[in-house]
Amino acid sequence: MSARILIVEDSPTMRKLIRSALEEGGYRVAESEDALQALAVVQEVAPDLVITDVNMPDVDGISMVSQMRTFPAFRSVPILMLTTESSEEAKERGRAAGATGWITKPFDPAQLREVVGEVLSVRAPR
Amino acid sequence: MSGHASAGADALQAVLGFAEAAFTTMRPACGTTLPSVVVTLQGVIQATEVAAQGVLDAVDRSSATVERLRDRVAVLASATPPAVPGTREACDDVSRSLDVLATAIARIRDGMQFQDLTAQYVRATIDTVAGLKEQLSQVLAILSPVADEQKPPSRLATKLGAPAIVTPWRQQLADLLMEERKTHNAAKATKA
Repeated sequence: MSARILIVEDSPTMRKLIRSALEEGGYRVAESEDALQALAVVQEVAPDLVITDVNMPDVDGISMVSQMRTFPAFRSVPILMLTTESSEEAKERGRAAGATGWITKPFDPAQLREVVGEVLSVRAPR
Repeated sequence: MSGHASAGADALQAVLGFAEAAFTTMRPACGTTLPSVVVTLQGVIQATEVAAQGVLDAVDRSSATVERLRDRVAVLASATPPAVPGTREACDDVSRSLDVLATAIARIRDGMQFQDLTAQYVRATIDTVAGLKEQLSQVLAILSPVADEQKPPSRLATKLGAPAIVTPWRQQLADLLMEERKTHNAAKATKA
């Protein structure tokens, strides 16, 4: 069965583009339009991987990662940040919060699928 | 001593004049212009979002059509007798054209990422403008007692035939006239 990926992104355009790129790679995709919604549904969706934006209203992506890591079932689920933020300071905050990797927008769909494939292949068993 | 007092009064007058001018300039900017800029920029984000969704829907339909055409060309290529001249070349040409179309469609889809990227810059601008408006509001709150002091009550100003532009000397004149009227009325009451 193909891996399930949760996209957390406030831009409908980006959600659609990321979904399109991932479905082309055969992945199953679920969406949340902000961090609060993602935190509410993540345990029910039980994704194998989460891809999240950083700049979102109310709760930003890095804070969401911190909160997600407090859920016992999500301590080892890979979380990729997909964002326009590219500063080392932001990346360091992401790492400290528990992010697995960092991809800068605009993204190349083929590269995104490649990174997702690599991350899923080395992920720790849940 | 009186020279110092006069200089102080001049300085105070200058400060009051500056405060009033600043107030006159900033109040419409804070109350109307900056909020209008924020609304306009938010509208720009929404409009580009709607446009991008429309383009992506068209891209999805185009991609599906290209795939369907690929299938049809394959069916035609296998069903056409090899003896028919030019058939194989035509099918190959159509397949190559569909590849070109598919590549172009993929580029259009990828290009739509710039809607989100530009929207983020516009959002940062909106935040800056909103912050500026907030700071101006605070400055206005500080200046308003000084600036409001310079304004005559509009009803009295109208009665006195005040000009359209409010000037401090009109208020002084109004105060003087009111004072004179009060004195006059008081004298009349005393006589009566």
